Amino acid sequence: MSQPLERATETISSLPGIGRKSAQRIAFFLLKQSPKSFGDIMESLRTFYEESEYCSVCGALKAREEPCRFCSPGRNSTVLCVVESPSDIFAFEASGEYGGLYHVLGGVLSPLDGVGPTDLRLQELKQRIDDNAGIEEIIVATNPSVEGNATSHYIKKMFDANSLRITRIAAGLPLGSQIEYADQQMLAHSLRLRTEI
Amino acid sequence: MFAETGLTALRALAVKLTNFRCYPSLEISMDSDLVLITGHNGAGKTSILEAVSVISSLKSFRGAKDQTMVQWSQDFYSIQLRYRISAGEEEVRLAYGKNPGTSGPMQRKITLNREQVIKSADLLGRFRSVVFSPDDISIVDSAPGVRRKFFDLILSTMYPAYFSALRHYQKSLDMRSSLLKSGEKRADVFDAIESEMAIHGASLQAYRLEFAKKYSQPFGEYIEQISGGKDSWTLVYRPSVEGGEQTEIFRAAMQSRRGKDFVVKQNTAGVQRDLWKIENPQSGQDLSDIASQGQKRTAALSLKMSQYAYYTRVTRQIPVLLIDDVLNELDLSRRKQFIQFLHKTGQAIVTTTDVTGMEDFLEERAGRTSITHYEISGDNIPVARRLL
Ligand SMILES: [Zn+2]
Repeated sequence: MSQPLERATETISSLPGIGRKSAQRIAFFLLKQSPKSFGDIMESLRTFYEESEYCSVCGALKAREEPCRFCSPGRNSTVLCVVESPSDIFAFEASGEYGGLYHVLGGVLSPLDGVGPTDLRLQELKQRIDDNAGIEEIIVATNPSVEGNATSHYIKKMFDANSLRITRIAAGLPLGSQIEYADQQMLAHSLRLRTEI
Repeated sequence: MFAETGLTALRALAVKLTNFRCYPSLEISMDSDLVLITGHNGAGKTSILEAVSVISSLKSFRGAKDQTMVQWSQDFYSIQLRYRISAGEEEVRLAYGKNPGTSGPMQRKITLNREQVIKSADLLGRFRSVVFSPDDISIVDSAPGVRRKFFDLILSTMYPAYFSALRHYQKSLDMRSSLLKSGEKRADVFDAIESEMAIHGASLQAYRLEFAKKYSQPFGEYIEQISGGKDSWTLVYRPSVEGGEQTEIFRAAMQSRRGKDFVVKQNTAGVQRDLWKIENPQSGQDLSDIASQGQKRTAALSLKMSQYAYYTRVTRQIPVLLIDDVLNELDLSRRKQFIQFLHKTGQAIVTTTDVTGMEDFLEERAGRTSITHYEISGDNIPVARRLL
């Protein structure tokens, strides 16, 4: 393998979910492009990188110069949906079932990986609830994994003293499945059938 | 043939092995009530039973790793089993390894009816068999963990929810144990992990309680029968958390253990510590402490016969029996009782060094059952020759 190809393959395969074989295929694909379309691909990535950031309130992905559309006044601000990662938000939006606020935790409790409460945006969640008396319900939509469930127990306990409705999406989502890849209808269904925890 | 009506019998029809243990390739037909496999010690008889049982439990009953079952210097093994269930015929192919010449990881691949790739969890429970092996004695006569594993496997193949609860319980247990080791003492974190542990732990315990009731009855009866009324043992389930089949009680028990667990830095309570005891019903003494070798053998046999009875009762389908050189281990009276039992079961695949000494068995079956007989021989590569 030539050295530039070796390096490109290595770089691409460092991306999540891409093995060496796919990385090489992508490298060859890029090589086949005209300078113009290769430039377009690179430019779009650069723009994405430079112009994106996470909302300091909800943790969603937003454009640097624009207000967060998930925190806008048009959303239903009586309900807040807690998710693991920013990409989960897109899954919920696509389900068309939800118009409330979001809160990205940035992970789940996982002692095996050394992830504790302080590594997650839980303090920020507490602050948000304390500051916004209008929020009546928290929907815990972490993945239905052991870690996701443990995190939902944690959140439930955190707000024991508050008069909040705390629910968990459950029905329809088999234990161990991933929200990001969940079928839209199934996700909509599991939102409607959420249960108190 | 069966006293109870409404039962159907499972039947293995043919098995084909590739690179499995000592067999580069082997194909034998099994469409009989009794399949006899004879051959000298080490000829490779047990490997055939082992292969069939892997289809039932995804594991070797000899405790071998998948890698060990791959023939020396080969890249994979495969087991293809065709069998008949009430709904018709099915064929499962289980392969383990990598494609020859590639450097990928060793993987398991299961194919149903030659086209549909299925997950391991979906194979469990399709082809039910019960293994009788001389090593069964270790199930009744070893540390509690061995019996726990034995019953966990039965429950897992019976109830998918048990299988997944077991996995998730183990995961939450590992989480708690890693907290204990790290010296973390935050109550809020323990609360969260224990709540999750309790959900799965309580569910496992509820399954075990119900299972113990159904399993211990035939166990007691078979002990009586095999020993000619001389022995009496009971199978008792002793959960680590009394009343822990209720989530709240289980959770509270975990919480109250924290102080102690902080000190020893490990989980000291929970379903991973449940006991399955085999006791003398009067004195409560443990079988492994007071029983003779013959009594232990009776108990081991009864434990497996109860597995047969349990499967039959719950699934309404008679499992296949895989009997590995067990008959010659038994004294005359136990042997007679066991043969009596075998006459009332479905298909049996039996290995033995030779048929001499099995006349009693064959005679009683003759005329009422179909028999297939293979003899395994050969120096390096075993060959199966069909005699009947
Ligand atoms: Zn926002």
